[in-house]
Parts: sequence; C-alpha cells; structure tokens
Amino acid sequence: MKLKRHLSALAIAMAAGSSFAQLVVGVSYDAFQEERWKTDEAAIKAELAKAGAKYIMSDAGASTEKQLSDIDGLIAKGAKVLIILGRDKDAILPAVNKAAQQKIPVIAYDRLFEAPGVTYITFDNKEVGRMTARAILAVKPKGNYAIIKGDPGDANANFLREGQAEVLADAIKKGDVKIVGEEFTAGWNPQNAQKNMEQILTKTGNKVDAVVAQNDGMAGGVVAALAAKGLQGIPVSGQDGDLAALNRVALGTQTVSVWKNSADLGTAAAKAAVELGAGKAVTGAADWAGGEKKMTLKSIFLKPIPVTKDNLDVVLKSGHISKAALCKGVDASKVAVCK
Amino acid sequence: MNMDWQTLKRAQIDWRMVLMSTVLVVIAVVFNVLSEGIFLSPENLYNIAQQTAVVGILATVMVLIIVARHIDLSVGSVMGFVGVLIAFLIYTANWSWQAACLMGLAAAIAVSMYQGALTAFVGVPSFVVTLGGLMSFRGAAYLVADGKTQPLADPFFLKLGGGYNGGIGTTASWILAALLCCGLLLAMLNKRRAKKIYGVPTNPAWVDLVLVLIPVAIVLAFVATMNAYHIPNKDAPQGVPIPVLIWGAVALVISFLVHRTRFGRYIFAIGGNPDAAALVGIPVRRVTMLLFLLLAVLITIAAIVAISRLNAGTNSLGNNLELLVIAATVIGGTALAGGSGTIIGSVLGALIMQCIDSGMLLLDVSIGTRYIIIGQVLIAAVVFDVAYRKWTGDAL
Repeated sequence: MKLKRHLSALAIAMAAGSSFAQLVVGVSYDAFQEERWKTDEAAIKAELAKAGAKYIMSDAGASTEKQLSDIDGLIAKGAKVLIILGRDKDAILPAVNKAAQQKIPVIAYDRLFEAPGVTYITFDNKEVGRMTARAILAVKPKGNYAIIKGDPGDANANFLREGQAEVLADAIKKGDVKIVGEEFTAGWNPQNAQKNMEQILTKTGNKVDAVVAQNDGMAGGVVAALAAKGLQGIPVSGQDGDLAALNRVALGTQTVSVWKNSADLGTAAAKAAVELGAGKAVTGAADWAGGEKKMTLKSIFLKPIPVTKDNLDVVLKSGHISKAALCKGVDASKVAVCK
Repeated sequence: MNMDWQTLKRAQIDWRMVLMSTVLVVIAVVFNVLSEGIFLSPENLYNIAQQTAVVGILATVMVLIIVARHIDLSVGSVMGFVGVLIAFLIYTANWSWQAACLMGLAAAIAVSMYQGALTAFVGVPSFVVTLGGLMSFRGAAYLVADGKTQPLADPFFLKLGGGYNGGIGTTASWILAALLCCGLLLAMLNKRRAKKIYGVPTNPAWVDLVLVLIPVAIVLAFVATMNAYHIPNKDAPQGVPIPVLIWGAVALVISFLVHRTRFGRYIFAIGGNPDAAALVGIPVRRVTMLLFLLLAVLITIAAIVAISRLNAGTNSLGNNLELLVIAATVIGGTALAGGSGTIIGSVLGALIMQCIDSGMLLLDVSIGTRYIIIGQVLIAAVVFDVAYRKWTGDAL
C-alpha cells in the first residue's frame, strides 16, 4: 500500500515536472464541425509540435454556455496559454477574465472579443475589401460599377465595404468610376445575389462594366446572372478561395478571389502562443483599438492573398485545391498552371 | 343593372382571383410609373417570371399540403439537399445529369416517405416533423459536398433554369399559346354542354365568352412579352423561359389532380374535416403518404430548376425558401386552417411577392424596408382573406 502511494506520488510529481518542461496550449473551438477549422487545427498542431508544445482542444458544438465550461476544462487540464475562437464576443468574457486572474494569456482567434491582455489574431477584413476593389480597378479603371454586399447583419460586410470605398474613392471623385447599383444580400446567399444582379442589370439597361462582390458564393450568383444576359468578360471579384471560384478564375469568368489561407492563421496563432507561454512579447503584434469598445489590444493582422489568373499556382502549391478541380473545363493552352 | 348584378353573382366568378389579379396589375402599374417604365419592360417581366419559378413550383404543392391541414417547413432545406446532391453527382462524381436527377428524386422520395410516415402513421404533427427536417436537411445539404459549391456546366441542363439559351423561341411560344387558348375554349364549351345535359342553368353566352377571353388575353399578352425580350447579342428573341414552362406544366397537372381525380377530392375532404373523412371511408393515411410523394417529386423539380438557374449547387440553396413558399400560398388565399385553397391563387401569390421584391430592388429600396413591406403585405393578404370569408360566409 505504502509503496503504491509513494509510486503514485512520484507519478504525480513527474507529471507536474513534465508540465513544467512542456508548454500546454488549449484551443477552444466554438463549432468544430465547420470544415475550415480542420485546416486551422492541422496548422496549429504542426507549429506546436515543432516548438515541443502540447496541443489540447475542446469543441463547444455551437453552444455559448458549453464554451465557458470548455475553457474551465482546458485550464483544469493544465493549459498555460489559451487560443479561443469565441462563439459570442460578450458571453465569452467571464471565461477570459477567469483565465486572466490565473495569469493565462488568451489569444482571440479569427473573431474579436475585447478584454484586457487579449492578443487578437485575424485576417484584415478591410484589406480584403481593398484587394477585391483593387483587382477590379486594375482591369477596369473606368466604367459603371455594381457592388454586391453581404448580409446587412454581418459586421464584416461593412468592413469590406469600407475597404472597397477607400480604393475606389479617387476614381469616383475623378468621375472615372460610377457606382450604378449597390445591394445587401440576405444571408450572403448566391441565389439572392443573382436576383440582385438581375435587377441591377435591368435597371441600368445592362450598362454594368464591373462587379465588386464581397464573397465567392455571391460572385457565383453574379456570374450566372451575367451569363444569362450573354454578358461576357465583365470583371467580378470575390473572396474565400472557394474551389468553384478558383475554377472560375482559371476559366476567366471571375477576376479575383481573395484567399485567406487559414493554415497561415493557425501557424501565426501557434507561434504567438509559444511566445506568450515563454513569457515573451508576440513578434509582429502591434497596438490596435479599432473594436467596438475601443480597447487597446495587441493584434496581428494577416494579409490575405488576392488570387488572380496570374498567381493561381499559389493555391495549387499550398494543396488548397487539386489541379483537376482548378482546371476543370479550362483550356490548358491559355492558363499556365493548367498545362 | 339589377339583372346584370344577379347574373354576375350566379356566374360562379371567383371574385378573390379577380381582386388578386387587380392587385397585381395595380402593383405593376405603380412600380412601372415609379421606375419610369422599366418595370413593365419585357426584360424585367422576363426576370420576374424566372425569379418566381422555383417558389411558384413549390407553392402549388404547398397549397395541397396546407389544404390537408399539414405544413412543410422543410421544403427549402430538402430542396437544398436534393439540389446539392444532384450537382455533386454531376460535378464531383461525374454522373450524367439524367442519372443524377433520378438519384435526386430517389433521395427526395426517401426523405418525404420518412417525414410522411411520421406524420401519417405515428401521428407526429407535420409542423414538428418538418421543423426537425428544416434543420436536419440543411445539415445534410452541407455534408453532401462538405459545404463546397458544385458548379454545373452541361449546356442542356443549364437550359432548364432559363439563362442565356433558356427560352423556347418565338415559334414554339406561339404554338404553345395557341394550344392553350384552344384548350381554354374547349373547356368552356364542354362545361356549357355538360350543364345543358344536366339541366343546370348556364351563364349567358357573353359572360362565358368574357370568362374565356380574359385568360386567353393574359396568355397571349404573356407570350407576346416573352417574345419581345431580345438579348442584344443574340439572333432571336427568347420566348417563354423553360423554368416558367415547367412551372406552368406543374400548375396544370396539379390543378387537374385537384379537380379531376379522387386523390384531389380526398385531400380537400380531409382538410375540411379529417374525422368525417375517415368515417366515410377515405384512406386518410394512404392519401397523406401520396401527398408527401407528390411533394417529393415537386421538390426534385424545383431543385433541378434552382441549381440550373444558379449554374451551381451550394449548401445555402433554398435557405429561407419555406417562408417565401408558405407566404405565397397564404397570399394566394389558402386558409392555414386547411380545407380551402387554389393552385391559381398560389401562382398569383408568388407573382405578387416577387413583383414587390423585384420592383423595390429596381427602385433601390434598402433591404430592411423591403423586408418590412413584404411582411406587411403578407399580413394584409390574410386580413383581406378573413374579411372576404366573413363577407361570403365561408368557413374561416
């Protein structure tokens, strides 16, 4: 008996000892069933393994309440740094504060929540907006523009629009670019985007020279609307790097898809977690206070990649899309990557 | 004058349809003035006809579902699931579109039989069954292709949704119009003859003539408009778009089922009074299952038109569609309590909603205002319905 007790005490001591040596990083996902997080997870795991840190995770299954207890659980399991993909920017705060009391650094991953000491790592959505507009402006510096915006209830639609407005401002002032139609799209739904585009075309007598759409799904609806009127070669933008959209870029029916490589986001968050775990400052993080509460947070904004016909090899090389999917129906003699 | 009033009252004119058509015309004229003539241009009418087709197809069968005192909240999700499945089989699995559509139909039937059996045999209210279906099949639509958009490119398949080559051309349109007009005329002659044989007093000839000439005029005007729409870089005008043709065919077939088959009469009997229907020996469960089978067929047709129109199957396909379909049905005068409703009403209801939506889009009305107005139109329609039933003494 005594021996057993001694042994178990030893085991506990060893376990405690090893946790000193090895950093444990806890990741709380709000809804892991969404496909993209698997890409993020793989990147986080790989980066942590490289640094010799241990990865533990929890999945709140789209429940705000469960995420709070998940985070308690991660802390109990010995997490020394937390990466949190918050379900709700306000409801998550009790858990974040609890972590702060125990001096556990927290990273707000992809979605913003504001609490003292939080490091915010995301893609720059305004920059996505700028990139969509920039790519369209590059091929169509003059003409009538239509803007297909996302859901009015999603703050990202406005961030994107702000970025687009910045890039187009000069051309609009000079009179080179005229916005002839601008619509929000309920639920970012491609079918609604198609209807919106049809009505804009009818209203303007088909005098639309370029379309700035805020994501790839809606760009698909726009392209269908244009094709139905027999309008070809009109530049259309999108974002997300949807496989179907990248195929359209190769086919030439879409000009640009701004791609946020979620593997990059995962890698950046894991690197930051390792640095925070060692008590160091995060490299590349700068002060930012652009949130709702105007709280100053250390933030990293990753640059997305605008994928056009000229740099399609980026998505191919990263393994984001297979050559077969990218080049389906594409004339291989015209597109370099499809040869 | 009094004489004429009596004749009109006896003429079995559906005043509700007359009023709804008037409302539709008023809406169109108002939008046309506000949009400085764009609303009633052939191009916009062609748009609206196409935009309404998917909702319209589903609304025809939703009428029957609601008449039978059921509801289907899962139409949008099931359509999304079936649509993505068909697109996935064509794009990713490289099936022929015919085989993929048959597989889609099989899936829709499986879903419908499952929901139908829970409703008809287990006795779970269809509201609950399909509320569960609304969520489950949205999830299934996501899982089929892992949320990835499935683009479609088969030129023949894309015609089914309209689009660039999606019209049947002027000649075919006129032939179709002629056939329809002859059909309307023959139907009226038949009705008059039957009434004479059974000794039922017939309407004065001029009343019946007017009753035939109005739909004939509408058909001719519609075809003329569709034939007037000429996409600038094409050789010939579009003619009737194929999705609208499909919608029309569906509406005709279902009207036939309602008026000329035992199945149709049973549905109205069940909706009027389910207990009485069971007591007189109507096989309520079997009819309910058949109704769900019909629903599966129409969901598949709607899914094919929807993905073909969008040139892709996406996991958001048909999101919130159930609301539009039910709203179109209700605006079209189908009583939510069951027992009464018409197919032509659902056609008008769907058109009224889409006209308001598309018209406001032309006028750049913001999305928030648009939703408020469409919601209030729905309520106004029901208020009118209640008032009308009180006035005519129909059951509420």
